[in-house]
Amino acid sequence: MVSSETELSDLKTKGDDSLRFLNGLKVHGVEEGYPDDALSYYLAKNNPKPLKENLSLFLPDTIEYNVYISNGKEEIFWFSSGSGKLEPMGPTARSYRYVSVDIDLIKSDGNWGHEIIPGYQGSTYQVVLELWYI
Amino acid sequence: MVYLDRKGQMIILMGVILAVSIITLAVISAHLANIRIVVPKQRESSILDDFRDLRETFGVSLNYNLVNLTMNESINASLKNLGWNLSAWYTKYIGSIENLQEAFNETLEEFFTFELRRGNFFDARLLEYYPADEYGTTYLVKVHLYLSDGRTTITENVTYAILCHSYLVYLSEYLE
Repeated sequence: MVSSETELSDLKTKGDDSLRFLNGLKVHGVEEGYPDDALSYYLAKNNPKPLKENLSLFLPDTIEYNVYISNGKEEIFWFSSGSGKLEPMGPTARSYRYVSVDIDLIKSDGNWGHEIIPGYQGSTYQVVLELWYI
Repeated sequence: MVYLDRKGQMIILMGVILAVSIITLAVISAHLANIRIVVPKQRESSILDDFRDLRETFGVSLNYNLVNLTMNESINASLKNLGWNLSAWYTKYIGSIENLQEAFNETLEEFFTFELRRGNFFDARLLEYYPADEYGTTYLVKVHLYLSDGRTTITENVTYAILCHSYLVYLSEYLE
């Protein structure tokens, strides 16, 4: 009983801290019009690789995760600690972080090239980090 | 003799009842010890952290929504003038302050939806806005933010610096 509560609390704390760190991490030399925090910048660029590298520094090998992007009504899978969407095991925690990115940047060629979530023209998203122990 | 027998029987009976009670309690305790009570932690994260995150992003989203509203209007206005002069300078707005209320309502709805999905209630009011400089390129927009998870409520008046200005653009830009 105690271990489940402790696990969830620990996962939630690690998830919150990870997203907060990525949101505060500045990217140098960003192009004009792009946000300069790592979470927003790499979301606008649709480049999860640097985020995954940073998360691997923050999170131990005993934790796996999925990362989603949400518009408040639906969410889409973006990347995971493995290749492709992973199936959570055991107690799972979710951490959230707001991101605001201009829709025109998202639809630019070389980035997403289209709306992240079909039909959604807004600029506000939530990055959702779903974690569990393996 | 009969009295002693009855007394003995009562003692034995009480002993049996006591033993059965102890055994029953032991079984119940063992069962309870095996129950894993998982307390959902999703809503037990500090609402203060959620509020800080929301507060930081609200102003940026408001500015983006303001720009997107006016960009569409300025482009349409320029296209209407294509008939009489294809090569001309036209005014392009990056956020017209006249659209602030509409942009604010749109932003409020976005964040309301996000927080509702997480079981929180969010509300906001546009209090006032005024130019931050003599050129009218930046406005200070004061809003009242309210976030509640049903147990804890956080409110704060926040002032955001919103970029809002116009500049001239050559129409041929739209033809490419």
